[in-house]
Amino acid sequence: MGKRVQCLLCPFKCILDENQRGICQVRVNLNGKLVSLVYGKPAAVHVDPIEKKPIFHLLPSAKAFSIATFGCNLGCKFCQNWQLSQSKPDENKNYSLNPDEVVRLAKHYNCKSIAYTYSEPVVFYEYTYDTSIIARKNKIKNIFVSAGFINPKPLRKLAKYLDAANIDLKGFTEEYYRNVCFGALKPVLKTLEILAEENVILEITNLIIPTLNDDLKTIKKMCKWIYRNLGPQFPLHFSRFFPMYKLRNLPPTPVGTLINARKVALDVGLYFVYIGNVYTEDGETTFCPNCHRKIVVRYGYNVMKYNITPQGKCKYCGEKIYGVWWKEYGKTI
Amino acid sequence: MLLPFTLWSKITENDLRYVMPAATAFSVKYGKYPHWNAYKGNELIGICYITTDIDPTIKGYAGPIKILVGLYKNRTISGIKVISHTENIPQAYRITEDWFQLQFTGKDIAEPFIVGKDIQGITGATVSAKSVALAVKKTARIMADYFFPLKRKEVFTESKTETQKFSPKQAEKEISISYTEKKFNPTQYMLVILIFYILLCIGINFKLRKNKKILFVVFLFELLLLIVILKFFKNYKNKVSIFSTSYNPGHPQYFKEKILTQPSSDISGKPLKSTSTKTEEILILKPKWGIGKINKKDIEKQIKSGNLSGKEAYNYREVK
Repeated sequence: MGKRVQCLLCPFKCILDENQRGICQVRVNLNGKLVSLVYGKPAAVHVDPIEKKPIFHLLPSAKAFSIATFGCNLGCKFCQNWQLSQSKPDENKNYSLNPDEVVRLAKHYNCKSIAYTYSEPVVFYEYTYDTSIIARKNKIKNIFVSAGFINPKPLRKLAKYLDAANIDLKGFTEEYYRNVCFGALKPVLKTLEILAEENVILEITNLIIPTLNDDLKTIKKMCKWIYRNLGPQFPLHFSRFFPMYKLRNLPPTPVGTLINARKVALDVGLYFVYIGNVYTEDGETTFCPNCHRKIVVRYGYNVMKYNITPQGKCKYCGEKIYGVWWKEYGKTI
Repeated sequence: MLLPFTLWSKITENDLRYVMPAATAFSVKYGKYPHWNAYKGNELIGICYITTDIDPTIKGYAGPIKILVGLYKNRTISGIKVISHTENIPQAYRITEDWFQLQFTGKDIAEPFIVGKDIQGITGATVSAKSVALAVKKTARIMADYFFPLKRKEVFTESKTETQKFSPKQAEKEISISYTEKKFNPTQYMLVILIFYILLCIGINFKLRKNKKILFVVFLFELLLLIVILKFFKNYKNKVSIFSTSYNPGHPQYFKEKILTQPSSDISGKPLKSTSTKTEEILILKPKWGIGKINKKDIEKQIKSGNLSGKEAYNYREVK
């Protein structure tokens, strides 16, 4: 009998015998030690605009150097990047980039931020931790895009070096999380509360799937929970579903449901509500919560207007707006 | 090591002429749906546009694919050109070859852009070919409806589009796992049944209050029935509770799933022809973790060669 090991990263808390890998496919018990097969071996490396993650309140129109590896601890049926998240690293080719080289390449391409996205950065936790420390020394921002299925202790360690985070609140019932995503809801709510306390710019996305996630009553409950427990200044993104992976029989969401969901959220009292993956009239503009004028107007991945002072205030009425903004807009790309 | 970086490639007049050789002059890129106007002499013959400007959500295997498309006034495509892509598959470069791009010239928008029927695909790069076809189809239909819309008569007399009829009930049948159980849920009606039963007993006992012997026997019978009903409800509740308990990470290690399947093979393994239209309900036990052991030699080889890393994790503990 060899040594057994318990991983303490996410709420599944897998207990692994010798030569067994956890549910994320990436952490393995080798000779009594827990080993991550993916440290410094990303599978996707690309330069993206920040609005793609989507993050709207951190340096709009900047570039993000995004990194991803194989593996994920959930298995959502609508995953867009299922080729990355539901496959194993030992059956595919990987790049090899140490944390130093990541930061050096980001500087070479004039990127203001590094994003850990596409698949699940919780699964390559050590890689994100080490690169975020080096990035902070070199004045580069760190962006964390994940589903939030992680224990609070490792989250608090990481959150000291993060600048922005986008977390998926996929639904608001335990049944949906269990049946469609094979996870749970309570740990995700805890991560949202923790990140709201720390000095991190939090944004929340909700993917609306017809016939599964469509109920306006649950959306109202979700918005009320956000208003009470987190605050009205955290932006909410409603994004459109396209058939993918295991849900190819459903249609894409009609634009009317997204517009109705946005109305419900604005009635509850949230300040910033956006619609993603669709071109709508006011779905991507930020309105000032005080004077209700258009401050930042976006069209796809382009920023058309930018009316925020370098101190982070509305140009017309002087209200402070939640986010990190440019000091000299227009000179840097 | 090639790092993909193709967001800011410029488009020249040669590219536009490759896509639309019948035009003599092009305008500047402008508009809410960004496009170039194409003129022959003084007459407008069509437009050119890039697909990611109109729908940036369509993706290939590893990132979006930028395609220049030319559209004529009569809603046919004059040609396409793939400007940039970020695919890391070896066969995906064949998107840029001439034979693949020339398939799209002369196509009407109403045709189904399906790889395998209309369009020839590429072995080893199915996703990239499919995404190119999807992008061209979607964006061409959007732009044609905005710039060159059909009049009402033309739509109803010369329509060639394939309209997929969708209804939510059909989708629920096709989806293999039934997770919305909107059938009879007895837990809602248990209280009502119990109260009804108790009122019945009280009424019967009230009528028999004079004959005390018969009352006694009937009372015992009613108690027995009560116990049977409560046990029945308990058993049903235990079966249903698997779908309604709150999350408990330590236990259980297995969970049950209802799947509607059609048997596809014999016990011996021979494939069955689908003669029967019935479906079966099977409860499957799925192990939640420990999904398969690794091949230790393979992984140690890969760690030595550099494809995988053997670095120790930060947060774990030993367990007896």
